[in-house]
Amino acid sequence: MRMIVRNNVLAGGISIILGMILLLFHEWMPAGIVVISAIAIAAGALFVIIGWLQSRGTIGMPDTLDERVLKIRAHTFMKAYLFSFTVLCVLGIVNFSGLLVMSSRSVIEILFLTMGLSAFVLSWYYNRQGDVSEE
Amino acid sequence: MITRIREYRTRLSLTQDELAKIVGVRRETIVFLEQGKYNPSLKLAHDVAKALHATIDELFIFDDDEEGHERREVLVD
Repeated sequence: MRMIVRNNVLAGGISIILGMILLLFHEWMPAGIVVISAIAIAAGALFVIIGWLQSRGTIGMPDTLDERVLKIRAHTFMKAYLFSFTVLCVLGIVNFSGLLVMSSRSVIEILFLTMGLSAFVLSWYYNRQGDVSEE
Repeated sequence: MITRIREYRTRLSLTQDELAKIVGVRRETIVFLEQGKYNPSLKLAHDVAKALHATIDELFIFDDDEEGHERREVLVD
């Protein structure tokens, strides 16, 4: 458990440092980089604060990541990725055939939605079932 | 798959939570193991068997086990 907390704090620290580096050199980079660096710093700070509170015992430690949970997560992400890839292929075919012209922004939005929703539904289903087997 | 984890666990007066802590898994994993819904890795099966002072064979009974025993007996005869 302690190792997970330590890794979270470490990841948060790296994210903050990267965000600051991006902020320092923002003049030589594309316009949107300030937003990205702000997000990186905020996310990093959040990770560090949560890790610090967990190590102090103020908030609960993360649950054990046992083999069943890891197996379910791996399957969930794999299936969500495959499903999203299929959706992307369909969108590509529709777009190339000229049936529906879509902007890259709407494609990204659809992908975010597809990945998020399918991962949520699959995770719920596998957790309810207990295992990833089809039996 | 049928498991006899509950039987061995209660024999040792262990709760699901205690067994989960000994083995290093979530309590839910023990619940699904007892219900025979989760197919564990050899490592987890070994750890559970060790914690319950039993063998893997004693804890996990597969549907085709009896059939296999019968076939082996016929071959031996």
